[in-house]
Amino acid sequence: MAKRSQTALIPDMTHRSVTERIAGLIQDRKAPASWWIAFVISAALALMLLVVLWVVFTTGVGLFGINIPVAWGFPIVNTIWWIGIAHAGTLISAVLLLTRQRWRASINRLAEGMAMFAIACAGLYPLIHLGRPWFFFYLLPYPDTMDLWPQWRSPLVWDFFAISTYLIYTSSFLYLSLLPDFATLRDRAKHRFAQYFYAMLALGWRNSALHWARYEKANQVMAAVAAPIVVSVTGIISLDLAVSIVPGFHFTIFPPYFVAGALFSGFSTVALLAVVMRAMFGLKNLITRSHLDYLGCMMLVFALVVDYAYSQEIFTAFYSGDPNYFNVYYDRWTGPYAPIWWSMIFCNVVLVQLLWFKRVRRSPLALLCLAITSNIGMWLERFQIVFTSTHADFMPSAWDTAWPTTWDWLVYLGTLGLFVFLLMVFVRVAPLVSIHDMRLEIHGSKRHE
Amino acid sequence: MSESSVFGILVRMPSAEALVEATRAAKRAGFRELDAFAPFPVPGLVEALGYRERMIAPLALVLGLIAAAGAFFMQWYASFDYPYVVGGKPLNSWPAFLPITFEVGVLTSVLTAVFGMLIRNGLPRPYHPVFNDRAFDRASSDGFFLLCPGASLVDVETCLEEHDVREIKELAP
Repeated sequence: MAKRSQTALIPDMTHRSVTERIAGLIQDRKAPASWWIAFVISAALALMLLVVLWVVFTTGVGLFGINIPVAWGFPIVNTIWWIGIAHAGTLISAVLLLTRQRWRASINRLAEGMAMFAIACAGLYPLIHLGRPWFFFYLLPYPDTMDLWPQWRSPLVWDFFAISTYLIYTSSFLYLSLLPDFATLRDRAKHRFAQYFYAMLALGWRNSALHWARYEKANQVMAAVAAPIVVSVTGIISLDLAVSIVPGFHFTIFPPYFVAGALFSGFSTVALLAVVMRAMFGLKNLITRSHLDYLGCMMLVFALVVDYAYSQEIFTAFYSGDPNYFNVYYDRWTGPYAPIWWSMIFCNVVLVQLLWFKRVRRSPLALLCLAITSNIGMWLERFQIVFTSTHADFMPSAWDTAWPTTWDWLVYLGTLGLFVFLLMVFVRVAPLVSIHDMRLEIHGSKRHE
Repeated sequence: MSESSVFGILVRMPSAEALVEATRAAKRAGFRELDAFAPFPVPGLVEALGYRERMIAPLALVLGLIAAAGAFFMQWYASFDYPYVVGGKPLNSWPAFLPITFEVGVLTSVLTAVFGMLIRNGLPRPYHPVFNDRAFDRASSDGFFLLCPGASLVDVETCLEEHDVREIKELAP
């Protein structure tokens, strides 16, 4: 039976054993040493981010390597990168829910948590880039004394709405998925404090069939809007670039190209986290090699879409007959940023072809390496889009090369630390694998026998 | 018996299938305000209770559409309230208004679904009589329970005579 093979679960799991196993990770076991190492390092980096931001806000964004002609630089590169990572989290969870892919149960929580913290990091960058983040509300239609409205035709205003919508969506979806699991933790908790803590979070969830019916309906609505949200958010971010007339930005292929790129890097990150977490917490029965195999397949599919987009972008540039567009490409291949372009091609076009082999997809170590190179590749892609397109546009007198400064790197490092820090706290407070989804999956696989 | 010291009868069943069967039997026997508890959404259980969720999805759609219309109107109104011509484009440049229209509509649907679920479920609700029973903690692990509020122990026992009942007890209010 096709469905049977999808469950990828070991056969002797029961409702009780799976509950004990996953909830026990938080409530009965001390954190492993590797968790402490990751926690301490990431907490230090997150603290460093606070200090760095304080310096940046008191001094000004001049500390960054942004100037004319490259006015967007690192913060935008990193926003797009983080948003992309967030997207696969949403998509894995929601689209696999809608299409009833049963292997989803083991990894959806990881994906949702990842999406939540990646979007938090992504949302930080536009605020930092503003330089004066306390004026961010200028983007909202608030009743001001000057009778002004935001400029509704501006992609930056669209961005603000898209990212805020996505942030609210992601946090609601994550909380919704956590709600029944918080009830499980509440019922298992031994300490008075833990009982109160999880009772607050569970809101009095009673596992009633009526609760579940409404819960499933709400989840279906959430899942149904997930795909449009994912497509619209990255699509709108790509419009920041595509709506301008800058050669290298002004491509109609950008929205679908960015969505595919986002999903590619996102699936890579889920694969990365899945490999790390199953090693850290010993979850080899719950997140099996088959799950890694599926993730590897998804990475390959979206990598191929991205590769196709590269080819079409190059084709469009030369088919346009516009010398400015030719120049962008000659410059990408031979100019000051050429190493970035070729490294990107190596990571995203050459290395990912290894995923055709089942042995590679099923090997945790190989998948981990490919997940890292894919994320580097996707980061380089955003870097070359933002930097090479603007550094040499229409007027040679304005050409210049920009490079990130130490402050750029420190902020980037800081958000990486923040992401890991939030994730590490999350896995000690909330179940790493969705317990109620696993119970349903066990019930389903028993019925198929 | 208005000052009852019993909220209802709580029955524990051995499996999801047995719970669905018992719920059907209790429903047929005419018990009122029945509720069933399981650690995951058991297929067919809520149908056995005679309930179908009809509110959340349509409401999410309707409120989403209203909010989207409102967002479009806001942008349309703003471009005439503060006319600002960019690149010779018309003031009502509606294609540029669509991204925000879409986002606001979708956001409203999402919030409707989440808060609709919470409100229809009566959450947050810190206290409920089922929490009096320590054994009920198993409802979030491997326990399958049927609750008959206001029923008498004897009636429920007679009704579920043929069923594989694991535990049956009175619940304090």
